[in-house]
Amino acid sequence: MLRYIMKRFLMMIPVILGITFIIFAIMNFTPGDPAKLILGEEATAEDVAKLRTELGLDDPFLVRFARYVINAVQGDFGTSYRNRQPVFNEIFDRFPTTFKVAFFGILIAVFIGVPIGILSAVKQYSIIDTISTIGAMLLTAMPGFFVGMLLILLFALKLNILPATGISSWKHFVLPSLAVASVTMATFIRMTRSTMLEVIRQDYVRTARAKGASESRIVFRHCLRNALLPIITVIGMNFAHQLGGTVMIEAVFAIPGLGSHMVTAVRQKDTPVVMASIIFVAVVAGLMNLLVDILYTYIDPRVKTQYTKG
Amino acid sequence: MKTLSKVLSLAVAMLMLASLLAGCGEKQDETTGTKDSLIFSINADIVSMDCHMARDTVTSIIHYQVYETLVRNQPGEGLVPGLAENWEFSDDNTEITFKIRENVKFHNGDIMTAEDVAFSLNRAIASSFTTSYSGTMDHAEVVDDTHVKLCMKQAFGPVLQCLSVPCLGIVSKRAVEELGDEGFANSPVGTGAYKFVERSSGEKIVLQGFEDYWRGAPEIKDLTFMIMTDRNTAAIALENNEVDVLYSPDLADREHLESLENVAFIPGNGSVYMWVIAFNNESSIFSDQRVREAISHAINREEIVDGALNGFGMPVEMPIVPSVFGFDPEFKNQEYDLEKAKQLLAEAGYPDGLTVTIKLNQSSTYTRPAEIVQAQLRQIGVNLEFELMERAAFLSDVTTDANYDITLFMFTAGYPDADYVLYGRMHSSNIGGTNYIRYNNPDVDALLDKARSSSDEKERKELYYKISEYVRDDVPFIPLMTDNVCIAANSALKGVQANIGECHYVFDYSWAE
Amino acid sequence: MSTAGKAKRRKRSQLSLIWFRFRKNKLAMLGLIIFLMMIFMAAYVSIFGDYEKAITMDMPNKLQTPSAAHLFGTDQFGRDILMRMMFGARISLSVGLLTMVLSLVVGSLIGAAAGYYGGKVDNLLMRIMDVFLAIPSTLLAISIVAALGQGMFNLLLATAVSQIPAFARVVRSAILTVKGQDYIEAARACGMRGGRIILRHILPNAMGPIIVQATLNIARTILGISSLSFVGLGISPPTPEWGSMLSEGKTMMRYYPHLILIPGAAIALAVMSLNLIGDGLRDALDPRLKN
Repeated sequence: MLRYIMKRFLMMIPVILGITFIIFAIMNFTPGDPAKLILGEEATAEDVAKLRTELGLDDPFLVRFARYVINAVQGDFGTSYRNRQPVFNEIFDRFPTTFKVAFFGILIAVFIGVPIGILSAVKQYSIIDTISTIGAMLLTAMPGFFVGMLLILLFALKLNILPATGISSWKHFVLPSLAVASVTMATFIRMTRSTMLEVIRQDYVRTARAKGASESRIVFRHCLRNALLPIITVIGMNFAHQLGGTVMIEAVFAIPGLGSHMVTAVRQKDTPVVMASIIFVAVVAGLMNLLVDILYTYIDPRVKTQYTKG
Repeated sequence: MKTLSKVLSLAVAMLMLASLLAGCGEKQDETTGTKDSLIFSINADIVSMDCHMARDTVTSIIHYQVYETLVRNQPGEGLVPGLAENWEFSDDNTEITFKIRENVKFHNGDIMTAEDVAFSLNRAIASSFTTSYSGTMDHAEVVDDTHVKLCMKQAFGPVLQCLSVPCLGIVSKRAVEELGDEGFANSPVGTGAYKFVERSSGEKIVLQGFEDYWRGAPEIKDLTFMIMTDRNTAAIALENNEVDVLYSPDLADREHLESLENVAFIPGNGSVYMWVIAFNNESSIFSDQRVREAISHAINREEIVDGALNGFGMPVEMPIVPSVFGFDPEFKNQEYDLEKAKQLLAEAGYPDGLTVTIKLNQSSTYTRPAEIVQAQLRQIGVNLEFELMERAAFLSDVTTDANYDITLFMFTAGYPDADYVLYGRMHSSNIGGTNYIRYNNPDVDALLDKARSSSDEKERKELYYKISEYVRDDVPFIPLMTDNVCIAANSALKGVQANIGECHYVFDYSWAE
Repeated sequence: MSTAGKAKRRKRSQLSLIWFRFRKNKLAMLGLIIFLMMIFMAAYVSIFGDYEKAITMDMPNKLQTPSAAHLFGTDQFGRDILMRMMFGARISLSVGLLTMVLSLVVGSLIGAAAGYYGGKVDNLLMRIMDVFLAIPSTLLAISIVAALGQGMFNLLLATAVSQIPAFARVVRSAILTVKGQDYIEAARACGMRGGRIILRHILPNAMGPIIVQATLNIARTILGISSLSFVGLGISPPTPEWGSMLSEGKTMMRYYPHLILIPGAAIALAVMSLNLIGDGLRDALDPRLKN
């Protein structure tokens, strides 16, 4: 197992390199000049040229890329073009906020979504199933800003029990987490339902039932365990995605998260910030995927034999 | 079951980790007792705390609190002496000698000297950010302990306006030299009513009242700027008393904010922003004056103000907005006349109309008026196809390379004088720079040069009227409208004013008893 | 009779069997009817209404709440929301469906290959997917505009590419679940080749999660079109489209909720009907539910 984990860590290196090259190329070859963006639309050509030199933008692409990689390997990811601060300062400032919102959001979504999914599968075509289907579909069709605004209007303005904006206490995280939960929950409900349905029809479930096992034992011991693989994949994927932050929800609740940070940097062509944010999120997502794959082996012994073989 | 419990224990471990993370960084900011704190919401993060390293509106709002300039732009009063007690122009207006106010303290306790002032001005002049204000300034030098001389490259009418913007603020020379440029941005030292405490990226900037401020300690001691990129949320936060001042509220929220008891919506009158339809005067289609004029005849400005600004703005006929020197309310642009427009198009060789791509910066600020213009021009057979671009691509493609036929954008008056917009956008020396409409007319150049160096207000006004007639008849661009700056605040807060230059001093604010 | 003819007949009878089972599922039929009606509406909307009404501005009548003249009210430019919603179906449904098909096919193949072959293939494919997953969709869209320019096809490409990794991961994990099962072993023992086993045995059995992912993705695509318009990949005004109707109504939703609710309901209805069809299809395809 340890060897497998080591191997996966090593495999992250080419992935990160690939990402680094692609993003650097995109930032370089798409239109827009960071110097012009920083100085504004009215800047004179001389000022822009001066700033470009200061930022080291005049060198050819490959030279800059090589310089970036060499510096990055030594731990220097550069400073933001815009505010001249080391890029990871801001990322580390913002990550705890994003992590909290993502974690609690996904947690709520799992604790509500998965049981509903199980229930709808066990009682397929019942009224519960129909309601959960309709509910899930309504949730997917609602954009994040709409859910966020509804939550704010209800809990902050009408009931006045939770603050609408900011991050200064745990109370501030309730509404954003609920918003994240509501946009991810539909996936969990539907995914759980459908994988459970797959499993419920398998022969071993029929065998268990024939053996006279209790219904709850069948559901939890036999079905859920076998259905967990795709469910965990989806949870892991959504969690990794949320760790990158969500612009809409961050904007609605005025949360300083990674999503808005990255999008702002993309818009301002602040290459060092974009690079560092994406590499950071990729590493976090890679760890998340690894964790999911390790969880697979705990849940499904058949998967484990594959890894120990390889 | 064993494996399931393992999964569960892992989940519990992660939960604990998360709550640990949640624990750190928490702070109590519940305010109780006598209120001497204020939360001011802004809609974007600032660029830098170093006043010479930024010039955008949002950053300036914070810099107005921390830094001061030689001349202060006092809302409601105009230009008043700031860190300079008085000043004297040389006979040819190319040198200004400032008498420096004595016993002004920096946030680090030092007394401000002539040395600091000259150093700050020279640092500002050298900065790339300040060129649109300091472009005509050459250098500053110390005359004696209390006098500093600013030497200009040429006489320049609006120089005092330029000296009042925070990016020409006065900084502590010692602090800059000891901390370096980067260090200074993290712990700035100015003479303003508030000193810098901390900044949390994307979240807030915290300032504290400066007890030794030369005009007296401010009434509001704790000042926090919260970054709220969604202005609708910011309006709710104001309604919910989570913030006290909302700079630039969304117009969709105006009526609601006006109806609230705890909120004062303070409308201003005009702004420094002028929406325009800009042509590339060298492009194959719009180099023909008749086509440009046809479009000018088909524009209904009232409808654009109504649809794009919810009626909260003014149509602009003159290429000078009302808040700016040079404006004349009598000026009329081409009249709305669809028949004339169609006829001009036919004369220009487009009897069946034409289709042209309009490049737009993708922001509702521009796309909403552009959608209305699109609908209006359809009536004369001009079919505008939108090409929406992100700001980065737009700036490089349109305003730098002039690779466009027509666009809808904004001309901003950096100081309230017609010189700023008209000289920048129309003078042929700025082709390749700010004159991306590529207008080249020697007669207009001569008028612009004359207006710039003159100090006779009446003469200057006449000159700008003449230039405006060129804009009307030659149609290098079409002025459309201007909006109204506004600000919303808690109704218990006194001293809040809407200001056209978005110049707000929290020093002037106080809570009602 | 030739073997090919026999196979053809068997195939047809299998299809009719699936249809027979699908038809018995009332909810699925409801979904199918709703969806066909929406497609019909998108295709023949010009019979019911005038496109001019969807794009002509009428400033004095802006932001009206639903009334007899405007069943669903008007937007901020006084345009009829009902007309905009009906004409908007064209773009939203076609982009949503095409993106789904494109990313479903490519993503499933990659995920299936990775899951089935395992080892080096799995590693290589999934690491490539990791690279793609790491590129934010806005950045992807910006680069596609820079490289290929604007337009409908490039919009499709940008949305599809960004959704492929999600399909690949879901399919891969579904494959891992069925892979070890006896009937796969049996097929392999019969000498069936990998590609055939994947297509005939594994994918049909992993259909559930794939269908769920596919239907949910349609909603995301439609919602996402408007967010891509900032790089110019979206649909240019005044062409109506559900996602942009939502984002245009954003600033005013508190005071005029119908601006958001109507396009939102249209999206919900489309996704719901597709989802019901998907569920029904899955059940109809499941050989274990033959009786």
